[in-house]
Amino acid sequence: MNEETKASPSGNGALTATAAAFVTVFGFSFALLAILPVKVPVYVPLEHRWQKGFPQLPVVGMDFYGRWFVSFLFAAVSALLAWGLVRFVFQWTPEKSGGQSVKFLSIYCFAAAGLSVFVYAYTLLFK
Amino acid sequence: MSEIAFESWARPLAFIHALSAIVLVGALTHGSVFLLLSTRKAREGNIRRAARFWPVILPALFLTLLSGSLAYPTYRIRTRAEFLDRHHPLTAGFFDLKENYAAIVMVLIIACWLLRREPSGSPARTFLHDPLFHLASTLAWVSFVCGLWVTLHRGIG
Repeated sequence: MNEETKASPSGNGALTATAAAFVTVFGFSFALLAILPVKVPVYVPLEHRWQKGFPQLPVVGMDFYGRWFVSFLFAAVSALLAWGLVRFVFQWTPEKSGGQSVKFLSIYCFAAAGLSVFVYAYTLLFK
Repeated sequence: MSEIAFESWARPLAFIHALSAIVLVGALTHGSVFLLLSTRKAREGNIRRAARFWPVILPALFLTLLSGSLAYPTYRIRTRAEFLDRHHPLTAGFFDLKENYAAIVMVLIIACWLLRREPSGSPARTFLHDPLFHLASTLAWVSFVCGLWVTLHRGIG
């Protein structure tokens, strides 16, 4: 059996939950940060500094780094939490539920990613 | 010291950004095709072929995001604020779309990388890894085309 097809049964559930939590939390938080008035770190390129929330016009601010960082941080913490819970507490494997749980996780992942894709397309191109 | 961070490096950075994005989109597309083929025939073989692109995908992703992030302040001032916002606001929207989709692509790729060793036919591969990989590939193409469209209006610098 080669490396790519080898998987430890105990590791499957933990990695599946980790990946699903990572995508789901990032997708939802990234979308919400685009529509909710949350103050994220904003980089002010002409003044070489960071501040919380956008500066007053006409100063240009860049919130992309801040939105990305906050969402990524949430996602990474959630993924670690999911990994720890599944690995050490629940010891869940996808086979236990006949794949149904993975289908649900997949629905959450695609709902979150789809929401982000829709929100950004709508707010940036059509609003 | 330049007025904008990395302004003197913006052109080479944008060039590296474009080249690494081409490599990334190519590798994701090939991986996606092999994963699609694996659902029809030679399942194990095509999954192995798709997995061979990981050593290309990860460095290309890192390089694309790093070079893009470093060149971004120059674009934001010199290209967007001084030109696109005045003359082509929709094109500026396409750039914003591209950067945000690229962030989603990065997360999808990390998730797929975590699941890369799931055996063929397993629920994690069927319902998570493969569809997420296809979504990453599609969004990478959208980002790439948006970037090309923006560059056709005005490049960086």
